[in-house]
Amino acid sequence: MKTESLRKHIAWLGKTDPIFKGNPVLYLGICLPFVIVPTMTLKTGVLLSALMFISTIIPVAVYSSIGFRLSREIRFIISTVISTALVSLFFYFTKTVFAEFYLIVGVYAMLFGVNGLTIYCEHKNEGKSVLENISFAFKACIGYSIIVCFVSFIREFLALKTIWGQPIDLFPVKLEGISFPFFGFIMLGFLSAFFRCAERQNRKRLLKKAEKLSQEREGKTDAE
Amino acid sequence: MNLSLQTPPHIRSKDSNFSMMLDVFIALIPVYCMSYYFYGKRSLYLLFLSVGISIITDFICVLMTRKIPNIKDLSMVITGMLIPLLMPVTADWYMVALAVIFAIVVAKHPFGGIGQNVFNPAVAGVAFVTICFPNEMFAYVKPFTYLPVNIVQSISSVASPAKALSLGGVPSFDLTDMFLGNVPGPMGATNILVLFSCLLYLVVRKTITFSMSGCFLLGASLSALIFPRADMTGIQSVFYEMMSGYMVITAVFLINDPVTSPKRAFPRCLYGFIAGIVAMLFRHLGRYEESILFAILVMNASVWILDLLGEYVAHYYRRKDSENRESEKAHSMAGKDRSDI
Repeated sequence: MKTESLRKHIAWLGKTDPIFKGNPVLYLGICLPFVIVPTMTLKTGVLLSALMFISTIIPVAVYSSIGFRLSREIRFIISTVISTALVSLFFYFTKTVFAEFYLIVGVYAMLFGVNGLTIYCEHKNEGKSVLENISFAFKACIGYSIIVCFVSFIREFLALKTIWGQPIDLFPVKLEGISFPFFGFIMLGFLSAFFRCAERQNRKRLLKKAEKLSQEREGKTDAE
Repeated sequence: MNLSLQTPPHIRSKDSNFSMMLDVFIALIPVYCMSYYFYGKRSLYLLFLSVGISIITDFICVLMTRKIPNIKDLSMVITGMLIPLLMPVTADWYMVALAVIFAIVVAKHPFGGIGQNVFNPAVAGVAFVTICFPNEMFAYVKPFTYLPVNIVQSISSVASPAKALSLGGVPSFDLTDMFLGNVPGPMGATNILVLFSCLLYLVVRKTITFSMSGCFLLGASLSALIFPRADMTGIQSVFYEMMSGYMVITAVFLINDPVTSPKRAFPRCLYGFIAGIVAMLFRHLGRYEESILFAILVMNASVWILDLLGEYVAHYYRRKDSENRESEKAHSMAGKDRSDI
């Protein structure tokens, strides 16, 4: 018997599905190279998040809005072209803000046009309304951004001893090995394990609470 | 008919995890004795620091996985003992601590703990510290330089034989000095005589088999013979390459880890041979003075393929053997029938 709090928690988990519980990076392993390789500094992480928003939300909106008119393959081609064009424009305009971003992202720059997260968002809610698709894509991008910014922050702090380019002397040594992609894999593995463990513990706690409340309720009913 | 039932295991061996680890522990003692002889009490300080952190970290990780720590499990002690031997005596305490913590927390327990790790924890830990502190990891001092436990001032380092070879030059050290460990280098990797004695001890105790170490040294020697890194003869190259850097300590301790090496005999020989060639390849092309550890990690990742190959080969020969036996039996039966007629 589910209690209201458990019901509310499950409803909340459902609403925030791609952010925490079904995080595309940690639970589904989507867009791993974009999280592991170019996330050297927090600035890069923020720009990667912005790029993901741009290359996902608009193509998903287009894909879902023209759904009832065209076949899936043609929709995919159109959304990919739009996504690639947006990515190119993004890199063109970020040249003035952060010139090295294109060099840091490297070969993954144009791959943002066909990244796994966009494709996942396009196909996940196929048949549903445009607003639902955009909402899901937005939440998925937030989930991606949280992980990317966290990984970037840790790697910049430990490997370069800076935050957003400002030197910070809190950590005694510089661990240059953290900037290697291998350590990015390890960090994602630990994050994924931590998220899953936290979710499991939370679910256990709520189920225990639910059982306790249902026992109390049964006791009250018997007394009446 | 009375049948007696017994629970497995039905074949028992007096060897156990504890006895194997104890043999390795005993084999490491003379190596530490020599490092104390060459470098003084700082080597023992790093040993105790490393082992202490290793035990505490391992216990915490085991408790976090809701298991009961096994006091007889000496694997974390062995990991703690191996790590300082692969480092210079000038290594700071945080480098050793970082290597140990990485070895236990990242390379051992996430894969399931003892018996299930894919990579050799000591090798992974030292490789990580090599990437993080490349200059400090190869800052060697001359033997018989007795450093204080707390190093306050900066120390001038000298080039090791491995450094000379990596730059394409011939080491200026005598081969006898290199054999006896009287050259700059990692604390436990320079004294070749003691390391070979440890290898002999472990082989006699049947803790390890010579096949893997022998094939590793054979593969590396062949590579050094055919492709010398400096302007010298092939034989000279073999001697210098074998006695410099991590080559012999890898052959004795690192490559013989029973968890991260293949199970059957043929794959073990193949693993050792390929590891020797890959080690020399990393020496030729690697960016560090000594890159054998990365070669070992690459080979650890490929053990599953060699195990599959070993099972396929064993299954093939077993099938051939049973087919031969059946055909012999059929022949003998046919011969018997004819003689009856």
